[in-house]
This record gives sequence, structure tokens and C-alpha cells, in this order.
Amino acid sequence: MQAEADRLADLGYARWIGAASRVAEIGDRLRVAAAPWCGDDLTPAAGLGWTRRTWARNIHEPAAFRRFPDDRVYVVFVAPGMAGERAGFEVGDVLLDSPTYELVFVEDAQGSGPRRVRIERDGTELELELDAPLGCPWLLFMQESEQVNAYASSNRRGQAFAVVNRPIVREARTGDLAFIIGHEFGHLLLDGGAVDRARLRADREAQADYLGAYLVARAGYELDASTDMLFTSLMERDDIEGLSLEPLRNRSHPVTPARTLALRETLEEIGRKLRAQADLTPDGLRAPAR
Amino acid sequence: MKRFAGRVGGLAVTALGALTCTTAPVSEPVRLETFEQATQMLERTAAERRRLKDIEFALTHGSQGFCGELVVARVGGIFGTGSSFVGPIGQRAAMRALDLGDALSVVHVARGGPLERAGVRAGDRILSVDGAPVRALEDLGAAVSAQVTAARSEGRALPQRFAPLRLQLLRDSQETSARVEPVRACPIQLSTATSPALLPVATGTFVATVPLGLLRFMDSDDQLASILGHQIAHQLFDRDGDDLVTRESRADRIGQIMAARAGFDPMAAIAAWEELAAEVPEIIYGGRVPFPRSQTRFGLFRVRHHALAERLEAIRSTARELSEKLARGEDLLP
Repeated sequence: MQAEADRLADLGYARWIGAASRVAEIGDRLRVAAAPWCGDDLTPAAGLGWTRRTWARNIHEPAAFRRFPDDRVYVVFVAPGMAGERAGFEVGDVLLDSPTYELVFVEDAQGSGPRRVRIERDGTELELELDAPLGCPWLLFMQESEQVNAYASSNRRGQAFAVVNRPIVREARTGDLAFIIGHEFGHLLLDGGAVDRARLRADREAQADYLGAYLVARAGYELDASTDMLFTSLMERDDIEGLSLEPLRNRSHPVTPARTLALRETLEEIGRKLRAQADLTPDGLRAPAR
Repeated sequence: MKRFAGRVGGLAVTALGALTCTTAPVSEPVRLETFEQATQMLERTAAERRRLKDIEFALTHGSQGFCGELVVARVGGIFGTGSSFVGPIGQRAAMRALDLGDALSVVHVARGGPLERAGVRAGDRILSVDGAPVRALEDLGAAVSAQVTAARSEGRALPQRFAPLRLQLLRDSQETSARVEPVRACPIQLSTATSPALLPVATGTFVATVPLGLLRFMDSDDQLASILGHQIAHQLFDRDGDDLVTRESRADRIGQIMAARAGFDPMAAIAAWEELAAEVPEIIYGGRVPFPRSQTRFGLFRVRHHALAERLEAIRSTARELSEKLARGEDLLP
């Protein structure tokens, strides 16, 4: 019976890691897509997911303690086709120098170019050479919740981060999920001062939509389903008051008809640029800092 | 601003909510977009409610034998009127998305139910029942329940079969009629909530609320039916003083029987609970957190009750038992 309880708990933890990994991969691709507007303060986007057992949510701790023999940082996800996979990372590798959410390298390399990462595999220490594209230095977390929500903020040290709640990850198709994360990253771009707001629409949420849609397109995700996702998940779906002609003040993501109209225009604008093979640069963003 | 309409076969589309409109001047594109959004949303929500109504009818009708004197009469349908929706945009959207008019309209006909057998179709307008005009959902509800109400008030046992109702309908501008024979069902209603949660909850003695999160998560009706059967069993059989293990294992078994009697695959219960456990690990531990972070890690956990693991053993054996009984054509009622 204990074995059966363990099996179920392990399955639940694996699901959690799978969902978080999906978020991590999308986040890395979007960070790279936003890189031209983040100045010089960039971090590599390797397409790796890692965790340690003491980061596990309380309910997952038994499974996390079974999965990881010690409290070091383990790679749990290697995104196919991304830099981490090319560098040879494998699930189960121990990241020896990265006790936090950020990858730490053997030496503090400047700019792009390969960096060395110290790992342990099967008891042997190795150095892998990671040649990863650089992205905006944002952290992205998945949070367990019974609310459909995502948000962006920064912590006391000024580290910008975004959080997406698990129900969105569970329900959203990849393009839609990318749009929701892109929208939050849009807020981070706005907060980071890279945007000339005067050239964008007045509504903050519409501004974040506009930038998010561009990031999603630049990262190569499908966009056409995004508006549908907005209706179904960002708003309280039964609550047709969300469709009222006035934005509601008490809602963090009021989905107004004006906002979806604006998004549709943005998608058309991006579609025109894609067909013309033009540069996917949103209006109102300052010229690349580098 | 929400209005909930009556009780015929459970849900009414008016529970979808109400549109609010302001009098502030709005541009024509925004007005059109609002209408478009309202229509799409009503269509989506209605699709989820149709699916749930089919399962609700199958479960509650199939399990009537469990309900004794609680049984009610049902015709298996979702009904509504355009005026259930507030505001011109809401009404027009509802009329388009759900094919609602001023008369009480049939929004959905439950699979295998009395309305379907009588040839009633979604989109039909209900003009009268047994000659009495139907203006609102309550009129239809009263007509469907009349025989149950009469028997109860006179202290008689319910008839084995209910007398058919004659519905006068308007279909494609033509009047037509249908003889609908209500059937017995357990009184439970399944309503929906916008929550992305995965577990149904009791929101009334005979009302269970099924979050949209669960409806979207469970693609398989067979799996969904076993979870909902479990919830219905809780609401019919839980008594004060029962301990958790008794409640859960009884709800599992009766829920499985209900789902199997309603025509759903009994084996689906196993995967359904494993799927739920993977997404909501709390249920593995019977809703309890295995141990607080600050306390000794393993000692405390090992002695805890691992509820679902034990229950799954029983769920598997019940599923096999029901499958075998079905194969032999035996009755599933205990």
C-alpha cells in the first residue's frame, strides 16, 4: 500500500515538473525574443529546467525526497533543440555551481559566446560548454493555485519575474500559454523603461498584449488562437460582466471588447510583417541598446 | 447580476449569467465586438453544459434505484428564454448563440432522455404543456413535477411510470406536438462553476457544482462520470458521524455502480482517479498535507493515512466486478 501511495505521489510530482518545464521552455524562448530591448543585462536561455528537493511544494516533498538523494540542484528538463541539449546536458545532471534559480558559470563571461558549466554526472565531475543565446534576465515561475491568473513583478533586489498559475498551464495550448507569458513579459518591458508609452495605446493591459504578441511571434509560436485563450482563461469565464463595455476596476486583467479589438489589429499587423518578411519590431520600442 | 431559473432537468441557461451594458456612448466596432464575444462565450459555455447535462441525466436516471422516496421526475433537457439575459446585446447574443426566443426554448435535449425519445429537438419553442400555456421555465417545471407532487401530497406511492405530457411546440414556424413521458431520477443536479479547480463540490443538499477545470481536464465522459458518480453518492449517502474512510469508500463504490448503470465504462474509474491524483496530489493523502515543512520529514509521513492508495485497490476490484457483471448481463444494483 505504501508503494502504491508512493507511485501516485511520484506521478503527481512528475506532472508538476512536466508542467513547470513547459513553462520554462516557453519562457526561455520569449526571453530571447525580448533581448533587443533589455540592454546589456542579459542571461543565457539554455532551455533547461532544474530543481532541488527543498524547493518542492509541501505536498510533493515525499516524492521529491525519493527522487533526489540529496539537496543539490538537479536538471529535470532539457528542451529539445535548444542550447542546453546541444551542450550535452542530461536529465539527472547535478548543477554544481547553481544553488539558485539562475544558472551560474565557471567564469563570469561577458556578452555572448560559450560558457563553461560545472556538473556532476554518475559521480563524475564534468564541464559542459554551453553556447546559449542571451535573453532578458527575467525569472519565470509556475505557481499552484485554483485561480486562472498570471502576473509580473520584481522582488526587493530589483529582480524582475513573472508567475503563471498552474491551471493556465493545464488548460492552455502552447501558443496561448506563450501569449499569456508574453503578455506578462510585456509588462516587464514596460516596467523596464524600454518602451515609449506615448506611442502605444493608453491601456496598460493592451500595451502588454501588444508587446506580448510580438514576443510570441518573434519566438515562433502560433498566434491565431491567442484571442480565444484570452476569452476563456484570463477572464472569469462564466462572468459575462467581463464583457461589459466598461473595464472593471477590480480585475487585474479586464478583457474588454476594446482590448480584444486592439489585439486583433496587432495580430493583423504582425501577419503583414511576417508575409513581407519584415523585421518583427513593435512600434514604440526604442532602438536596440546594443 | 445573475439570475438562476427553475429546475426542470437541472440547469437553465439563465444561469449563464447576465450581460450588463452601460449607456455611455460606444463605437460601433466595440459594440459589434461585444456582441461577438458574448456569442462566442455563450456557445462555449453552453457546449460544456450540454455535455454535463447528458452525463447528469444518465447518472441520475440510471441510479434512481438508490434514491428511494427521493426520486423526482425528469425529462432531460436545458431550457431558456432570451429575456433571461439582461441588456440588448446579451439578449441578441443569446438568441443567436443558443437559438433562444421570447418563448421558452429547448437549448439541449439530453442523450437517451424522454425529450429525445419524443422527438423534441434543440431550438423547439414550448408553447404549452397539456393545454396549459408555458411562459417560463417554472411552468414547465411544475408540469413535469405535477405527478410526483400530487402523489406525495396524497401520501401515495409514486407510479411506476409517469403519464406522458403533451407538449405543443413551435418548430421552424410550424406547430407540432410531442408526447413526453417523464422518467424517474435521483434529485441531484450538476451545475457548473467557472473555477479551474478539478474537484466537484456540494453546493446544496442536492446540487453539486462541477468546476469547468474538471470538465476540460477529463476528455473522457466515462472517466468524468465515475468522478461525478462519486460526488453524487456523497450527497445521497453521507451521514453525520461517518468517518472519512467509510464515506470515501462508499462514495467510490456507489459512484462506480451509478456510472456503470448509466452506461459508462466501469474500468474508466481507475484511470480517472489516477489522473486526478496526478494533478491534485492532496487526494492521495485524503486531503491532508503529509507533514509540515518544519517537522521531521519522514517519520510523520509514514504513519499517515494514504487514502487514495487504499481506495484504488477497492476501485480496481469494483471496476472488474462490474465489468464481469455487465458481461454476464447481471443487474448492478447491490
